Amino acid sequence: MKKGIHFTIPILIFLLTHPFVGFTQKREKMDGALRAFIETPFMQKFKDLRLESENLALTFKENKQNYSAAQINRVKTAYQKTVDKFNTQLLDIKADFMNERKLQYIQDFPEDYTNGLTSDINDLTSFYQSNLQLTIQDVTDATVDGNSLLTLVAELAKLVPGMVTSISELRSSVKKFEETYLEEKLIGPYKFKSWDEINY
Amino acid sequence: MKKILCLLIILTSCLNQSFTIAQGTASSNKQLDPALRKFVQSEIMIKFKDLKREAENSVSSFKSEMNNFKPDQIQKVKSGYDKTADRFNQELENMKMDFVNKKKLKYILEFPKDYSRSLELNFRELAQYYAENFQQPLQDVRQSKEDGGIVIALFMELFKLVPEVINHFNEMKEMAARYDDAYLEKWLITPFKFLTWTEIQAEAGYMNMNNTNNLYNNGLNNNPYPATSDPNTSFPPVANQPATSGADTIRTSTQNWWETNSTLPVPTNVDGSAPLKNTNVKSTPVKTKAPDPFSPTPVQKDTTKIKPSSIKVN
Repeated sequence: MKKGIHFTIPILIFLLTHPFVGFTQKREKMDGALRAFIETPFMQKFKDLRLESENLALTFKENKQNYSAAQINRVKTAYQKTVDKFNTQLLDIKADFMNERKLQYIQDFPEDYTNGLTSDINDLTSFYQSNLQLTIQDVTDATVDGNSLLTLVAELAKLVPGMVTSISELRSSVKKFEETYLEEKLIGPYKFKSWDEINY
Repeated sequence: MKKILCLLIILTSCLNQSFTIAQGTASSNKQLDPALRKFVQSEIMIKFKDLKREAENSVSSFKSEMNNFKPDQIQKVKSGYDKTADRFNQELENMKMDFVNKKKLKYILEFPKDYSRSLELNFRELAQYYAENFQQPLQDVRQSKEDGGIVIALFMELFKLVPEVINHFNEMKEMAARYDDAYLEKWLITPFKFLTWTEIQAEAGYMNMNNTNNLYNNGLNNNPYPATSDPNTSFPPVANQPATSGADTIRTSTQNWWETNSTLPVPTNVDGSAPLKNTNVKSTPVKTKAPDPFSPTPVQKDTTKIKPSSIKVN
């Protein structure tokens, strides 16, 4: 009887800790792969873009006593529409990271994915120009021109190839990512804040 | 024994070679399958062809007034056009490669948005390339204020039509495995390929015979229709047709299906009268006539081994 317990306890301990060991290993792999991706100039620029857009909204909010409620509402709507587009782009990237087949496709045909993403970024640039930038220039009589943000978006398109190369590389260590992990590590830090969230 | 073995090897290789050649010929002689027919007749491909015509038309008109320009100006327009035509033809080649790449085709159907966005970007880059490398030098040299509105409009329509390409890929997926290089070359490339500068003839009606810049025509554009009021004058046949006479040349009496667009320059003589080309000029016999995907679907059975139920025709 004693002998039986003697063998059972280590086995039980092993069985209980084994999934955790597997989980830790998987997590380490995902961390390494995602870190390399997040450090790409594309993602750095994306973050700059987020900070700059929030700064733009904050600058406007600081002087909101100079504008009518309708004008404030116009800028708010334009801001919200624009950041929604950027956030959708981020969510698309997240979805690609969770799709094993898609990651394989990116690895096999990086040029197609690069072109597609560049096309999306170009659309974001146009959208920003014709929505947020135009509105804010109009409302503030061009006191706030929003050009710094425009430069950043335009630069972002040029950084797509490097970002795609990084995705191709991370696929060799991770086949696909889990949603909760990406939500925590990718969406959380890079998501554009909503108008109401921007405050001192 | 060795001799017999050698003979056998030679015989086998000869048979293999002739089989490959026969296979190539057979594949290019296959009827145009309904799905590919639908694609080459689609709006997007029609727009692509219209762009080709517009570009070739501009070259044709420019060639007819070349004596007004300096050699370096002509060279500028020529190299600009050739570079642009190369780009367009490369895009066509890429599309062909996608048709024959099974893996790619599978991905396209699985992730259609990615492919159509990629194609859209390529077309946008082509539009920019066209404007910067051909349209702008042409305007500079001509000191013209034309804004190239038709071409811009065509490009805009082309961008909008990109997503429909995916539907065609979907319809073609069954047949695509049977498409080979020769087959696609015949039905997809030849009719849509941009001609090179030297393959495009000058607009006959406006050709100035004092043109001293024939260096850039490579002897292809000597005017077969000299301006004359004498109706009895007969003209020699055009002996300087381009080598690829099966391709799209703007001025040939044996026009193919893709040459019947109304955007082609209306041929006129210097005095404004209609040219005599149809009555007096005999064109060089065409060696390989390009196929006509717009001709009615043949009644005879498709020779390929696809079950009729597997081909969806809307």
